[in-house]
Amino acid sequence: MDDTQLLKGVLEGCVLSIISRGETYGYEILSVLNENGFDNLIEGTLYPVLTRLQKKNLIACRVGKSPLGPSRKYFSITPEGEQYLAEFTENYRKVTEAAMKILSKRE
Amino acid sequence: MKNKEKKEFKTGYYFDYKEKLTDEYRTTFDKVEDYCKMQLIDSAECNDSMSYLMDIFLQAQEDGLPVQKITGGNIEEFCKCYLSDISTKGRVRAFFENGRAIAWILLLISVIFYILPPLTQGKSAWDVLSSARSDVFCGMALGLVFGSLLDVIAHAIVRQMIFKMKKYRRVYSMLVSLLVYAVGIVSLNLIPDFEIDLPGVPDIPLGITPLFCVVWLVIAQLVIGFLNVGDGKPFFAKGEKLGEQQLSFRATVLHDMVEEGRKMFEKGNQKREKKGKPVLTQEEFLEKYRKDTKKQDLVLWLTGGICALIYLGFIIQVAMTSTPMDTVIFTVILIAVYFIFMYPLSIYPNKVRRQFQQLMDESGKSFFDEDFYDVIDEKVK
Repeated sequence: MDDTQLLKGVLEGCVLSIISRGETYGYEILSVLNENGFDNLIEGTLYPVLTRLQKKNLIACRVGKSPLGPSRKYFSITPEGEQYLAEFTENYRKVTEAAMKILSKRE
Repeated sequence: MKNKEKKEFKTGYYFDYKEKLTDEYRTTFDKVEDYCKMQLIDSAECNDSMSYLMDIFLQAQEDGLPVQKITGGNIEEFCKCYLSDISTKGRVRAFFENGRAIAWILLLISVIFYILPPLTQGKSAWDVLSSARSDVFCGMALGLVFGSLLDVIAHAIVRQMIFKMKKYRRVYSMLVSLLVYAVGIVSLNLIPDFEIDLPGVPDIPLGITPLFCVVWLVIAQLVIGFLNVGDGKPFFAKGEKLGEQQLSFRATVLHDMVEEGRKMFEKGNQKREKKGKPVLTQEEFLEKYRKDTKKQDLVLWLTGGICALIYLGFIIQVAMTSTPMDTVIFTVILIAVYFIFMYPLSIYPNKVRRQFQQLMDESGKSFFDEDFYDVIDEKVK
């Protein structure tokens, strides 16, 4: 089953959660996502998510120095982002609980 | 911020780091870069996107990951996703950066000048279009419209070719653009011969109209080709943010010239060594740099002079056959065309180079001195 639609729903929240742990950057976010089961996620999918979060003012961005040379964008969560994350986490918990109740009764 | 910090912090353009990429990463990066350049993205956003991608590639390469871990299996899909979220402001800037938009604006001005006056006298648009004056603006209009439309289609075709070709060469898009404009110029020959007599419209002799259109279209094609495929610095870009300080665009350009000057010195001496010639000392190189700046000025005056002579020829022809007001209108359009195209290409870069040389002469320092950045920042506050 294609899990693209499911991924779309949770990716913003997951990315926001990673950023809420401390200032970070794209490659690090991608690594954390990959380590936690989002194996097929690529930078091309992540970058637009980060741009959307920035436009919604949920994360702030600053261009900084990369130890490897080119510029790097560092992201940090905003107060609006913290509030959004709290609401997302609560809603996600409710939805998954309800869904698990139904799915576990399948047989 | 100390100079050393500034120098370390100062972000180079991504193409400075390309040689650090391995074959696999380099091939993929080049494909993304080519795709980016063929989009309607202003060069500042393009440079930013490619810089961030370069950082990710370098890090993934260091971690020993295959490039597919970053881009997935389908590079085309990756490009479309990665470059999908360009700001509206970026696209508007790209539109104006691109010479094709300028051509459309000039076309609009032409249409206003040639159609509006008769329309206000009660003639219908069809009468105006079918009147004797139509060959004057029709030649320019059709060439521009046809050429611009085909240019857009040509870039859409070339964009798809990027993923199918093993080695994409930028000269291919230049050749496609040339072909497109050749077709546009050929279309001028399809314009029928009409008698011309409309108020407010310059009485341009028929013989020089195709020649004028050819000159204009060739210049337009060169500008569009340069803007689309060249690695020129972004003209409408904002300055960089250096920590908390926002550098002006001019300061950013001058900072870049410091790095450029040092690179020119290194690369120039490498070439001289390979050819068995003695390498230049810093003083000798600075003297050469000063002479080259003066030479560039001379070239600019020379090309400007040649353009002025050609333009004068056109204007004299028009003046001999038209009213003074018509001649003035025609002259203003010619001057606008020259400055709109030539300013970003040569007048502005030359102006910056002269300012850079002047800063070195006045301060007694050069781009080899670490504290030259301070001199720049002080001057361009």
